[in-house]
Amino acid sequence: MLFYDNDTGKKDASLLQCKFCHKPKYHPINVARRKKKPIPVKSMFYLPLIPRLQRLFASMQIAPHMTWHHEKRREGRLCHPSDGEAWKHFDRKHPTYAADPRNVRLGLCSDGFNPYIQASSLPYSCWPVIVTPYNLPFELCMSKPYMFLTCLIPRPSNPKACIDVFLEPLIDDLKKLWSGLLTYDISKRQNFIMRSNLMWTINDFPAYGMLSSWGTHGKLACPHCMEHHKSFTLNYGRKTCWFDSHRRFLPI
Amino acid sequence: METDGPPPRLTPMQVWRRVKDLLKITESGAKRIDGFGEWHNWTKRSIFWDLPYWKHNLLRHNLDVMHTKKSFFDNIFNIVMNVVCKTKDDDKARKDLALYCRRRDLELKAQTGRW
Repeated sequence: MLFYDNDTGKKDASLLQCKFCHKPKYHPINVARRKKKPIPVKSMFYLPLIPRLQRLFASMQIAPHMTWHHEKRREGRLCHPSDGEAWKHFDRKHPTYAADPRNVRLGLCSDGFNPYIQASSLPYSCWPVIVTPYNLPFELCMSKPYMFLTCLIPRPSNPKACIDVFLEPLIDDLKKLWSGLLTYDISKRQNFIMRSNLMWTINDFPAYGMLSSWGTHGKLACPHCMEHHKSFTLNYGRKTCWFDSHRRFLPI
Repeated sequence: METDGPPPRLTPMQVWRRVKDLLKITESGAKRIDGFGEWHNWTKRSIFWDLPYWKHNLLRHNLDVMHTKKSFFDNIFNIVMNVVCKTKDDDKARKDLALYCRRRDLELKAQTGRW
């Protein structure tokens, strides 16, 4: 669990033990010996997302681009996520939200990587979580200055399903963003209520299992087929196999 | 040959009905759910379902191009080019082939001990 307070009534920052497994928050030896601040067993970094989204509207260079997805009509062509069916479906479901094109659509990406690949041979997996706005034109969208590193989850091992624990501050911020925050738009010289939603997550297959909560191992690994899978274990290879299953999606 | 149609495509609301009774990691700690790996593979209720609009999203999770295309290409390329230690065209694969395919010319021949 994460020892932190949020605005919606969670008061865990003062606890000294995990609520579920009762493990201590700080290193037990250090608490007794040290006069200074005790050392936590594990810590993560959260870099707040909201001020960075508001800053996009404070820059003369970026603010006019934030409505690009709405202004440039690209009939019959697919060159931006806003041309896709998922985006249009979301707009139909939330017409009041879609009415203001300044509302920020976000995507979330995450993957494990090892920062010390040359310095140490020990397995170490660090999980950055990156949030990126989709409002921008496609030449700016998902480019380096607009990829916001929000969570950094350092730990020696893969967080597996427990990644949710570390995502909690981000989800709290996203909930706040959905209800709306007062922001100054410099291109129109006015204040407005900025809302924002998370469109989807993008990752590799093991991370898919961690974020979507459908485990991606074993015979039930396919998150689309679910229990209608046709996998079997190879007799000699000893691996799960989906031989010929792709044919189910093709016309006979 | 596989003649069955594709599995049903679940709408976001149908998925929500399946996961809404599962426990969240942040509420219960990491616990194994009954029947895991047998008739379902749910590990938890994902924290993204806390977002009020998540059940209206058509595409909730995507696989990125770099991971799918590159790994796919690497695997095929290593088999076709017969890269030492990387190819999956080994004796086990040839033995399995005899069980599931009708490709007599590719099967492992037992009497000579060679492919």
